[in-house]
Amino acid sequence: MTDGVRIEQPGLLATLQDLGRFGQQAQGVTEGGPMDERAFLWANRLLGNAFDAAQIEVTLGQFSLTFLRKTLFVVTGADYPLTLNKRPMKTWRVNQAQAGDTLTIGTNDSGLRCYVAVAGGFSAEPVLGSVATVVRDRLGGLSQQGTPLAAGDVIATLPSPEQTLESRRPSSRVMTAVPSRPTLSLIPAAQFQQFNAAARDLLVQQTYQVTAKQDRMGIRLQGPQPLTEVPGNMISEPLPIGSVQVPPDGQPIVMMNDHQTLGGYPKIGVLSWTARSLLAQLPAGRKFQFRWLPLDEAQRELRQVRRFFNILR
Amino acid sequence: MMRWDFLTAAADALMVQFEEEIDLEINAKVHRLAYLLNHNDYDWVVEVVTSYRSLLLYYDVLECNEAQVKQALRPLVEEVLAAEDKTQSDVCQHQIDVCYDAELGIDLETVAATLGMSTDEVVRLHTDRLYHVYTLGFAPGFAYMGDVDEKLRVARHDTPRQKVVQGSVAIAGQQTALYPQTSPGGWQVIGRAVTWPRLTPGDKVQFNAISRAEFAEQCKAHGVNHD
Repeated sequence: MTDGVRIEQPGLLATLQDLGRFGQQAQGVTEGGPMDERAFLWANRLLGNAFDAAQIEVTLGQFSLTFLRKTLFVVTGADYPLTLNKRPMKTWRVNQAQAGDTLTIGTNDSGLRCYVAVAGGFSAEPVLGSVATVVRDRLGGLSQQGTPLAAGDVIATLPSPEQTLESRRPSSRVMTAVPSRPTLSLIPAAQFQQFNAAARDLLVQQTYQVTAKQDRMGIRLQGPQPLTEVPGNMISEPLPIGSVQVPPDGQPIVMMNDHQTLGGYPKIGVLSWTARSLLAQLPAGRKFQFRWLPLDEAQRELRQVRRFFNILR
Repeated sequence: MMRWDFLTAAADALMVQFEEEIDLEINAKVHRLAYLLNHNDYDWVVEVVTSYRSLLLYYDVLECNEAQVKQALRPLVEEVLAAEDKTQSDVCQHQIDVCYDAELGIDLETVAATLGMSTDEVVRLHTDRLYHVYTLGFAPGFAYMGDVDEKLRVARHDTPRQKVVQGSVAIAGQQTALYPQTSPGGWQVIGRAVTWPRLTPGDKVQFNAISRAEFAEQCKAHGVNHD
């Protein structure tokens, strides 16, 4: 293990993330992990890393780091402008950096988050089996205390087999850009049956937008008309990532990676794997549609994902 | 027989729900089912999360679909429902020392005044029984315990405090809890502990009152700076 990179400028929020902290929700410990899991998994795949090798999740760009050794790296997720020593680079392509090179990530409105991955992956002491940073739980990250990355932080990288640079990238059929008017697939779940037909229809008929009230815990949505006759508060129950809660005001909140492990608001559905990664990239004000997705189709998608990225859990 | 239901929770998760009540017997069924799922090496069980009357099961979608999981779960649920719940032998019991001093239990005097009793009576009622850990959540290690004596039930604060100090012991309605980390919180704080065990749903907890001097001693022994 050697010093890999030094953070020069962390931007708004840069955190170390692996796939997440699993198996401990019964203890009140949430998963954490990459908000755009799809972009994260692609980065590791392009580098030939283990599926859960740790990366840096950069929020809204404005980030830079210096490589302390020669390494292959890739930046996936939002298509922010990249430069390596002021030379423009492409996102979603494997590049090589020499010791002393500086990677600078700018910003634009193509998305909210990008992932910086290096061959072998970043290394930090795991907490409860994971290095995922959960600020609210004060767990994980370089400090093991859940603190975000700061200027001056030096992160080690794990050894990787000597690799030659071939500009690896996903096949052109793989969608790397966020569509301007996305459709998010939603599986009917949890208290779906307790919502009336009008509410279930309205959810997929009207256009929603993402609000500024969003973080790694949850994303508040706003529709022209609130859902009505929302079922009353329930006894708190466990809830999975991607759950769409509807509080009494009728405007949905999607629970994301750092969500609380229990919730008492009724849930009308849960986002599909692709939809969750898409939502993680939508800036405040971006409009989108929901559509209902049958469970078996959502499971088929998940199986494909697990097989394609070779995810063992 | 107790009513129960399956609910789809996610593409890889199924919820088992028993009757909608915060009730020791119902909660014991939830934990019994969790125990069966966690200790039988089922290759389709990925993770089990329990709450008051609900159990969330994450399963391996590469091994099975939802219908198959339901089929495998049904006899287990029926077994749990049929069982006489005298299986308390494997339950873990903990003692937690708490200093019920008005300076540490910052709501102790208000709680006593609200309920029209002395602070000693509040302490007596709180320490008088064995509490059941219904579920963990909110924050890592935060255990929801009950049931609080009916005479000791108070509402939570209308506006949560920004900062409840680590180790605070608090009550709200039917429930009591210990804040394992300093965090925001809306419950009524009646005392503070220096050390506590890692709690697991289904465990039993007894609170013991200790004096301010004993509290100070424990702080010193454990190198805790309690301010």
